[in-house]
Amino acid sequence: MRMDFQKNEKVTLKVGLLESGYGREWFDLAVKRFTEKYPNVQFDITASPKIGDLISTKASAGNDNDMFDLFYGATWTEYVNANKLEPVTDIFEMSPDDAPGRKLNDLIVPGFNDPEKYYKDNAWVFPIANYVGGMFFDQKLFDENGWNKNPKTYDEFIQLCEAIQSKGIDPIVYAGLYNYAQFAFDTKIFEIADERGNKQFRNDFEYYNGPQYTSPESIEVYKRLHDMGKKGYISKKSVGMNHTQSQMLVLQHKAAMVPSGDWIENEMKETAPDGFQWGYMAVPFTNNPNGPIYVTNGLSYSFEIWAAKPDLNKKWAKQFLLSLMSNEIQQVLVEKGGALPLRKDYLDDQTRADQMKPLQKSIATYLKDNPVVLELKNRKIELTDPDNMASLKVIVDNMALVLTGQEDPEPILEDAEKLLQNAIAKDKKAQNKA
Amino acid sequence: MPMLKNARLQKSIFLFIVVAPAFAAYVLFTLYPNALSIYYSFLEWDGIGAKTFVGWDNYIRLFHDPFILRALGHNLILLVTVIPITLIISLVLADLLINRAFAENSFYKVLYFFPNVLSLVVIALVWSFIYDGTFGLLNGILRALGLGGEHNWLGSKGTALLSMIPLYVWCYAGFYVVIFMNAMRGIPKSLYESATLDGITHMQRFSKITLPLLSGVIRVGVIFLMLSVIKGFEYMFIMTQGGPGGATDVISLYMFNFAFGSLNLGQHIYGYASTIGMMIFVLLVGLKLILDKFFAKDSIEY
Repeated sequence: MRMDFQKNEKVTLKVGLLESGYGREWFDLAVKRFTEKYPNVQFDITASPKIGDLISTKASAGNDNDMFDLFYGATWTEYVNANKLEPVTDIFEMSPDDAPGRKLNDLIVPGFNDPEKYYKDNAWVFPIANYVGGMFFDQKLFDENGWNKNPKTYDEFIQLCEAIQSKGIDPIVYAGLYNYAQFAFDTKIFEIADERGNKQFRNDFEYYNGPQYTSPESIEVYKRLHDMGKKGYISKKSVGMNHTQSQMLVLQHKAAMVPSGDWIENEMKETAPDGFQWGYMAVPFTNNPNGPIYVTNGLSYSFEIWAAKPDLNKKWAKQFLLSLMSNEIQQVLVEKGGALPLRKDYLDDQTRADQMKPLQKSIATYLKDNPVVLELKNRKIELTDPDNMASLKVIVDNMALVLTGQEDPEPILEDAEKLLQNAIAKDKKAQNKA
Repeated sequence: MPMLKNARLQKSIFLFIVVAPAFAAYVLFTLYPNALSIYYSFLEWDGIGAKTFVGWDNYIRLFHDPFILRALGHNLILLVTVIPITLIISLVLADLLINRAFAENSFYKVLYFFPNVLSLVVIALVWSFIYDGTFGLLNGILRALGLGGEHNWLGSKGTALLSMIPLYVWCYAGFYVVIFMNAMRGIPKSLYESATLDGITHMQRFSKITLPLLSGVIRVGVIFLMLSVIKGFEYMFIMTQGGPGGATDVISLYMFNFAFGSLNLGQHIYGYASTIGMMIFVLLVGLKLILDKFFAKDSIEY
């Protein structure tokens, strides 16, 4: 796909930039490189750690002139439903400057961006960084104890938990306050469905067909987690604990593994003791050593383009977003920000590969050595009825008690399912799409 | 006569100039948003897309929503514990600071007031540390006393809400100590002197003179505490997210989650949230009217 870019087209792009854990060196460098190449484009940047609040306020105010052209993507389904966003699908058909003749779509790590899985048949958010969720641990502790750092099956993972517990250490602790277990376990329904040969499962998930919380796959996942909790593999301390508290227990070797995302190394870098080396594994729920293992991933930094802007602005905004996918900008994001590279040819350069942090390497190695499916868990329809939120509330309120073996999962899943089915039945959009 | 008319006009203009800005701000920032909330409570709206008028649906839902009753129950537990405990502690401390000439009185006053100048996030973090199941101060003390010390205070359904009570009392008591001290200073010394001549004990002096003469201030204190306890949810939001198992879910947190979502409930359902807001408004007005029945409103002249 080619677009015509005239350098005499003066344009100022208003940008709402999130100042996040990834820093902003990558963005400043990208703006520098872009304005060197296209001096006709200027940037009016508003940057803040709370930019999401400003974006939603501007969006609600309804003044399109005042709105950013390009902004951090926190909310999107609501904007898409209100026709406020410009699709970014066509950017994936364009070629970055450092990979002429190759479409961006073919350059991104499979699963890190999968437009056909996105909402209403289009991509609306442009990925800058994706997180990978799973189980994080100290490689040194595992090596010292001879523990399995890469269990291939569910049974092997349970054996690992038993081995850890026999040393008087809690195998798993997690931030029950924020339901961080989701980063390790919420894709496991796909894995069970895959193992059982349920080909209809994904479609049922995407369109809310049939039972969701009480699907056989969901019940199986929660029963296994509940059993792990009852055996003490998931520590009761998790209930009421925030992410810092749970991660501190792993740093102090009071617990061996903690579910989180790949940002954990950066997040805990000030408190990690000398010699602590973060490692990564996904939790296999399959007993087939050839997998696949479904790994949680999602957007951790993205951009959106406001639809009600002049075409010229939107065109240049897309060109700028494409420029963010150059390996030069990716390198700053990876090395300074701690992000995982989105370009699959990133590791082709040995120097870049060597510069990655231990955890980044551990994740990259895991993804390379295992039959992994990066799962975005996108739905194709959105429920807006309050009962949907009420059903989520039942799950969020009670999951820590289920996962630590204190409450049986089935009554809770049934309560949540009733509310969810009410929401599905009442939501006209859902009915029309089903 | 024209001069009088002119004076009246000038007075009206002056009053208008003085009152109008404040009144305009009140209308713009208080009355108008509240009126809008009434309108929103009849809508299904996510804040961005089309507004759908749903009539009384949100209000009907309110009466069938089991989480509402549970949240209100938790608010009730906080009301009947936090308010009396805060008032008793503040009155006792204020009376001690007024009637006992401790050299450190000024220091104590600052110390008690200290929580009021702390950021609520700092307070939440301090108390999270106190209640931490592994490294917490409370468990540390219990361990030192040989009384266990392994309990997960905020992670247990049985103790999570009760653990919030000392936090609330600690936050509020200092403010009311200062309020009550100032009110006690306004009570004429002659009343105490004549009572002392009649042989009154310190307890009688407190219950027969101080308390009745402070009833107006206490009434205001009860109202403010009631508002704070029902409208406040910040500590639950930071420390427990309403959990575990909804054990610390209070009505304002429930409303907030519908309006602005939290990490796990990231949707905006402004219509139903506004309906809950209307219910809280009616509840507060109702409680205020009930309070008026119990407390005499007449001011006391010395």
